[in-house]
Amino acid sequence: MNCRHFSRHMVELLDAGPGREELSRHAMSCPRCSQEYEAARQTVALLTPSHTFGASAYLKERIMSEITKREIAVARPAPRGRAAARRWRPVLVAGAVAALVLVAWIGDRLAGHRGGPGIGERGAAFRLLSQAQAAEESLFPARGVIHIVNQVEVMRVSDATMARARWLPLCSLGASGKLGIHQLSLSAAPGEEYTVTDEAWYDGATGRFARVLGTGGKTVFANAYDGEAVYSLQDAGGVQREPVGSGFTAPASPAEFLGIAAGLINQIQAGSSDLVEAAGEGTLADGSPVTILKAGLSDPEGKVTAWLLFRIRHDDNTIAEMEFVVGDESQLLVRRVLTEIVPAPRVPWNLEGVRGGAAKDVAVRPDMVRSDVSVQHMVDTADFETYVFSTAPAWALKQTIVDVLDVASPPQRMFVIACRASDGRHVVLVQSPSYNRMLGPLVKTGRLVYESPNGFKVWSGPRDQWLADILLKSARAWIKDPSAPDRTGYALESPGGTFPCLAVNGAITQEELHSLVDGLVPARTQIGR
Amino acid sequence: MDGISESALPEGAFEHDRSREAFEALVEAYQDRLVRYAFRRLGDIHDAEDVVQDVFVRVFRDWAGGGRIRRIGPYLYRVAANACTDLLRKRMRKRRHTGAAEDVIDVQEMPAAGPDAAELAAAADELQRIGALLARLPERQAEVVRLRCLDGLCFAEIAEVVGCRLSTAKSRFRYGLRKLRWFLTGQSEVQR
Repeated sequence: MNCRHFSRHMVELLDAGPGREELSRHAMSCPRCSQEYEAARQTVALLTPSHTFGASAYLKERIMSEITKREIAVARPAPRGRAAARRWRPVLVAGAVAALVLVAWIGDRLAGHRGGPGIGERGAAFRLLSQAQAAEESLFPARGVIHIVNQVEVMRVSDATMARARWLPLCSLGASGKLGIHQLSLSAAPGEEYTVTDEAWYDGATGRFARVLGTGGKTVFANAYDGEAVYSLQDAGGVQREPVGSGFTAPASPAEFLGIAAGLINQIQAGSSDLVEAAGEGTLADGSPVTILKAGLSDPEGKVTAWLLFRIRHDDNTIAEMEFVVGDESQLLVRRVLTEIVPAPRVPWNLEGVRGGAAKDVAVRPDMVRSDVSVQHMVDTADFETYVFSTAPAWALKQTIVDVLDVASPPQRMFVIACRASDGRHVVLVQSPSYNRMLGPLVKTGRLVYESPNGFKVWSGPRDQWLADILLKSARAWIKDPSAPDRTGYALESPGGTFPCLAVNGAITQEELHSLVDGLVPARTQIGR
Repeated sequence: MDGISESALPEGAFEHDRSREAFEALVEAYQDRLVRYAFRRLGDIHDAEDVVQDVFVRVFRDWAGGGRIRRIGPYLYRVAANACTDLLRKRMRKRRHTGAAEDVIDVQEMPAAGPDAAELAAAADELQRIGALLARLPERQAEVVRLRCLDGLCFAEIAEVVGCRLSTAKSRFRYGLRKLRWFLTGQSEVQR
């Protein structure tokens, strides 16, 4: 070997190749090449980081969970399943957004801003929650019948308003194949406590399922699918059978409607990662270790006063418990008490023999969210004057109206008009009986920034950005983007005395704001009333 | 002058054993390297982990579908490189759209069980220092140096990742080192 050859092949000393020994021998015998090698080594050392890091401890589990989820999806009839999941998601998202808006509202009103710490490590916690959701899906096997029992503990609280106001979202499958999301109202007298048992069976091979909720010996909710028809418990106590339509698809993601956090976790997932933070480690009653995640919306001062806690098991990453807390006081605790594979369900797939009965404190209010409703529907349903944009904002692509249960004033409905925009400045207008009742005195503490020829007043105040964030989150399923840092929010005072709230997901000019507000007309005029 | 290569699966192990356990071992062997690679490209640890998750899920799909993957290491890097490029393009489009500022390495949001903030901040500082040095090289040489010094790939793997001959990968590395040495010491290159 000569020096030219050494120079050309010196880099091979980095690899464990066959010519390494010969190169080393030459370097030892040739001072010039040795010097060149040493200089190269020093350069490589400069380019080699001394600080290193790796993947988070959970990444491998996350990857394997995702793979498990995909395997399950592959094992099922994929095309129809995926289509069904796509169809359901916006409804779930919207329902759960309503839930979180409630969390923020209750926190603001009842907990008096005395709540928890600021949120940190949100991205990582959000990932853990995603992982837990994937693990939840893996509870439902591709073959065999699984039996899952959850318990909802309605906790003893002293505040009468809070005792009455508690609820959880409840999902059901309809004969059209669409998922409905309802409000499971869990009221109580101050100091009273009780338990609701939520029992479900799911057959992975066929998609059949049966679900029954009961308390005090009364069945308050039931929903099932036997492969031919969907069955639902009616208010009168009987079971209604609806044969499935031609477009019906069996549920592909049972965790989305049978899981412990069904109807809530989907929204948090699709909402934004900034809702979720890590809240430490803990143990369950049986000593099993868990990671605790906290999800809540902050109030205008940035404090979180009402939140959901998710306790994630270390052994299988599933959600063991979900707890609703307001001002450090536990309100509701949902806990999984049993998962087992069984030969057949105890309750028949067609709910034969199931009878409903009125429970003192528990009620199911149907259809928390009705997506893509018409102006006619809004006018017919609302018991207050509603408004629409006579023409969509110039930059908007599509306008969607969503009818949502006003969780602060049930059974009244609120309406979200979401205009998805090509430039990301989505427009959201929310009209709600609760806003109409609550916002009057509040908005007038702000600044009047515009009076439109059609009689609208536009108010601006220090909570505008917070309000805009809530509104945009509530419409996340339709606008599809997180709220932007330069979002804009306004409270409007309509000529009819209502208080619609307007959010734009970005900066707008005065002219654009004026054009938006000037374009608002009573919804009834659009349908010729 | 040993490299910084990490333990990886024996060549061919992945090809012959298609069990779930084998795939898990593959994830274990490559996840750290790929996260560092993606973090270096993207500047955000969460995006890096998301990309790596997608890479493994995609590779699993190919593998479970009976696909033949000759050399898994370079293949993983190629898939990761493409995924990072896709994400960077998306970000660029979004920036053009919103006028948002350019992304920088973000050490504020840490995975709960990942590197701590100090570790990642120190690593990010080092990456920026090394990046400033490598910015003086033609990109093709810089990429080979990065894959060798930062990612610990051997030259055969680098050749597969960048799609060149083995001898070309080595010469790009050699010329890259020489230029850097010249820059660092102010000396002219040794002429042979």
